[in-house]
Amino acid sequence: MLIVTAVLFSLAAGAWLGNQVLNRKPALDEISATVLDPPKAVSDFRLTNHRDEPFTLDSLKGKWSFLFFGYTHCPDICPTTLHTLAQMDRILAADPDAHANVQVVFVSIDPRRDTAQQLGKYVPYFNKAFIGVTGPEDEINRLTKQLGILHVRVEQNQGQDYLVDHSASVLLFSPQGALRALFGAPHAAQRLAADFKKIGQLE
Amino acid sequence: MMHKYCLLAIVWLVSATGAAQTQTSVLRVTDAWIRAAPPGVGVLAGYMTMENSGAVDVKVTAAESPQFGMIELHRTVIEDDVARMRKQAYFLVPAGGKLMLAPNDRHLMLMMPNVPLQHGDDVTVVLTLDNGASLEISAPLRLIR
Ligand SMILES: [Cu+2]
Repeated sequence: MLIVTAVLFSLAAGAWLGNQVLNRKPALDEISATVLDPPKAVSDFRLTNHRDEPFTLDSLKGKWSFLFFGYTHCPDICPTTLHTLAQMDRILAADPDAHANVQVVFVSIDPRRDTAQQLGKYVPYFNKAFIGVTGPEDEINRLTKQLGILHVRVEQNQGQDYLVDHSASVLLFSPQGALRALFGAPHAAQRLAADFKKIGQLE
Repeated sequence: MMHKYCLLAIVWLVSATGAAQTQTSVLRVTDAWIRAAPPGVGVLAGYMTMENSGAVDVKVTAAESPQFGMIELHRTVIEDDVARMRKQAYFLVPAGGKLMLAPNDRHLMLMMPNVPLQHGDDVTVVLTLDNGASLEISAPLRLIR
């Protein structure tokens, strides 16, 4: 009788422990992104989206936001990353509730050439829901400096043209509008989606 | 007329120096493609695999296309998470080896399109080799490889 009770108890305990393991939060080392704990608060900025509407810190609230910084005259890493983010978006769309809570934002670090109109032709090409953002150079800098995003203009062909060296990270903002995680390049859609789901479980 | 998904390059023996020299330019290009971009974008990147079956290294020193005003050889390097794109003097394809032009790495930088191009269009590119030969390839515009 005692033995039966002990066996039943250990079975129940095993089941309970098993459940704890399944319900537990993911450990940070299971996530390849760098998770900021606590999230980093960001002060306000005044930018414009590709529909010529204001884009401020409030625009990052209420949804998870993926931000990538680049420019439309960048033929290699910028379209490559936007395609990867579009693939990630298709993976996330398998869960419509979670997907409705996500936005992808491309912030230009070349506002001289990237007008809202130019971004309107460029960004939705990769995904109709993606948002292009530009604005005055000092407002772009106000945002990038807080986030540690680098961008340096490099003259080409005797100054007739320029390229921009820039950070290749994808940044994830929480629905509170705080910086929650950094994904280092090169990016892969599966890894972005998997990390994002785990980061969501940390909340 | 090439099918738009035909990936094999056509060897174009422009070299006037004859058979001895073209024997050494055994460069083969496969999987050539150009990243399709939104309308109005004036700069595109081209990718491909270059294979050298010869016994001598081959350098690709220039590229041109009737559809673009200028093509440069470029390389993107991501270091400390900063992407830097720089012009290269040549791409070296080692004897008996290969060189990949791939996203976030080496690529052809196609600038100043003469005609509006869209997804599915083929672009003709002529590669200049350091042994005096050239190689004409055809690369389709695609979203992904
Ligand atoms: Cu380039």
